[in-house]
Amino acid sequence: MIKIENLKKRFGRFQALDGLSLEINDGDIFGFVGPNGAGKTTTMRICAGLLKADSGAVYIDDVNVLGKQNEIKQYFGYMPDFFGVYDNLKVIEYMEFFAAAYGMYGKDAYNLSCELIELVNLGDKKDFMVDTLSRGMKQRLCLARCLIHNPSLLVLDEPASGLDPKTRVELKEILKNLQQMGKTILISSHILTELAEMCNAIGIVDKGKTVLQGNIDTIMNDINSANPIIVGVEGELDNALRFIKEQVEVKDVFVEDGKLSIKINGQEDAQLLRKLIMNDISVTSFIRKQSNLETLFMNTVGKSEVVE
Amino acid sequence: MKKNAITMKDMQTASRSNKTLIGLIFIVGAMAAVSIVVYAVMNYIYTTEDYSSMSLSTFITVFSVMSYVIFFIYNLIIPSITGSAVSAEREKQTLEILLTTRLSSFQVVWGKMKAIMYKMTIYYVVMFPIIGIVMTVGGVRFTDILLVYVTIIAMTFMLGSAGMWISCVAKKTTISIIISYFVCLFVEVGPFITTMWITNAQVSQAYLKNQTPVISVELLLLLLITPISTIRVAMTNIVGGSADLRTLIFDSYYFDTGNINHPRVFEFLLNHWVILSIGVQIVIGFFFLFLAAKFLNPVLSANVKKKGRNKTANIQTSRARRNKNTTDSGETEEITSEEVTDSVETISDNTETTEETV
Ligand SMILES: Nc1ncnc2c1ncn2[C@@H]1O[C@H](COP(=O)(O)OP(=O)(O)OP(=O)(O)O)[C@@H](O)[C@H]1O
Ligand SMILES: [Mg+2]
Repeated sequence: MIKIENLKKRFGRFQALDGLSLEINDGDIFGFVGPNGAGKTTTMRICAGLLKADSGAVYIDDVNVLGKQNEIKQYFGYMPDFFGVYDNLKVIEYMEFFAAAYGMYGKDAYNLSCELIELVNLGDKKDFMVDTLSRGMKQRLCLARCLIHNPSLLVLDEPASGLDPKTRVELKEILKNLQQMGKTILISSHILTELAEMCNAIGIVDKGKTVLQGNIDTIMNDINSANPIIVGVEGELDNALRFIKEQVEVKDVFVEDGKLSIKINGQEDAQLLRKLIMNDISVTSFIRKQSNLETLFMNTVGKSEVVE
Repeated sequence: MKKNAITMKDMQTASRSNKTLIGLIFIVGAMAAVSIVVYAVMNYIYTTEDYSSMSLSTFITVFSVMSYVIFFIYNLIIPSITGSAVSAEREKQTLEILLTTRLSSFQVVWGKMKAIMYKMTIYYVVMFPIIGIVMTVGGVRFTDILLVYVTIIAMTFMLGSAGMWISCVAKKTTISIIISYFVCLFVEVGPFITTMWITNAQVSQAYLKNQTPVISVELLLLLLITPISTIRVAMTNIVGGSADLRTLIFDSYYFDTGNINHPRVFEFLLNHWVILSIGVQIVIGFFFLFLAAKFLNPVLSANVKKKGRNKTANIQTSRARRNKNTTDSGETEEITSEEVTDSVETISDNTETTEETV
């Protein structure tokens, strides 16, 4: 488990991180969400050992690794939000170079490089020059690069930015694969729909602080339970409306788009449905309105930050 | 020697770069031109003067010319390749990635330095035939060529490490190269000018007072850092003859007439000049290399970025604005191809601004 605790970082007079804390379980794909300037990259750079935190701790299995360059270099695979590719170097050579940077040479390095290149579906580009690759390919190559020392934690800064939908799906597959291989992955992104599909846990940060974090299903449930239930009924609405209003558990009800919108506590929805049916109200649909991560994001972070 | 990933990569990319080819052509061209001139001069001496009047000093002159040219070429090359060594990695945004690998920041700069010394060796090997031809005339042995090589590598190491440090500190490659050239110039001529100026002053002062001038040996120590002094003495040793530091660096007159404040130190310096100055240059080289490594160490140099804070903040806001566009187009489920290219454009814009930030 990796635990980031009360991380603080100040740039001049600007407090970029102001007591940020995160808890990431082993095997998680953890979505790290926040508006621009929230401090995501700063946090990741601190985790990668590229930046010194003013205070706070990063625990890996209860050992604080902050300031211990060797541990950090061993456990973390960091992929920044830029590529960093060389001219005049082929894909395979690029990988071999980074293998060498980890002390692997010769046949071993070559085999490992090939393996990783295959893993990110770049097998057919092995002999291409790195700087001629497309954006999506570079992104995958960089992912392969940060896997070269077999880190148990991957820290990926906006890996999906600028990718077309098809490439994003590919990336997602790769990440799922990596998760199955036992890696813990921390991804930052603004693209929330992406994270919703990929991650099993998220943490929302704003202004250098954690606003909300936890299992994605739990969070979604919590949020959704505040949402109204939309009920469609056959025939006249008035009858049903009157009946529903009489029920004690119902907090509010109104008609919206020819359907009933009922505010009710999370646990009592099944009971309501039973009552409706028993009272001969023909229910055609009964669903709780789903919020997506966007609304969640807007609600927690505040609209002004995201929308102009 | 242990393998260094950076060295291997640098050599690999350099072998494919046009710059290397241009560099080699330049060097071969320059050396060929010089050897033609030297040959013409020699020919002139042979034909106009009596063969028997060919004195050793003629050879010395020829070799001085050669050594100056070699040194001039190296002084032209070293700042331009070392000055860009680290800042180019920074501009390609690969520096940070390197620092997250198992390589320490010293291994990064040391690897780069090694690559530069290899390149200089290749340049020397390319010049080898031309040097050889010229040297043979003076009856020069292989070990002499080796000695010249060692002095050149020592110079490369010192000037290169200084350039490397500058390249770490300076944000932009061009600025770093320009500063490196100035440093190079300063190292080559600064000590000469200082020493000569002070010695002159001492001598004329003494004459004014009708005293015998006393030259301070300490002044000579300053010259140890100057690679030109090394190569000149080395060349003199190769050619043989009476010329030593006294005649090469100062007007021997001072040393004949003036007293030396520490004659035995002076003697020692003269006899071991080449090895001493090479030693000094290597020590200075390591000093700058360690400085550079220290500077690169991310955890130690976290304060470096504070200065550009205001600028960064501005860029950050414009970046934020742009990122917003990307986010919007990224979030819609169905993305038209137009939007995709649009967002890709904004992103590549972003990368440019980040480069500035970095
Ligand atoms: N080197 C630096 N010098 C000064 N300020 C910095 C530096 N790095 C980051 N900051 C500031 O810290 C804040 C957080 O930046 P950070 O890059 O972590 O945000 P982010 O969450 O990654 O944003 P984005 O979504 O745009 O990538 C920003 O306001 C930024 O201006
Ligand atoms: Mg960021």
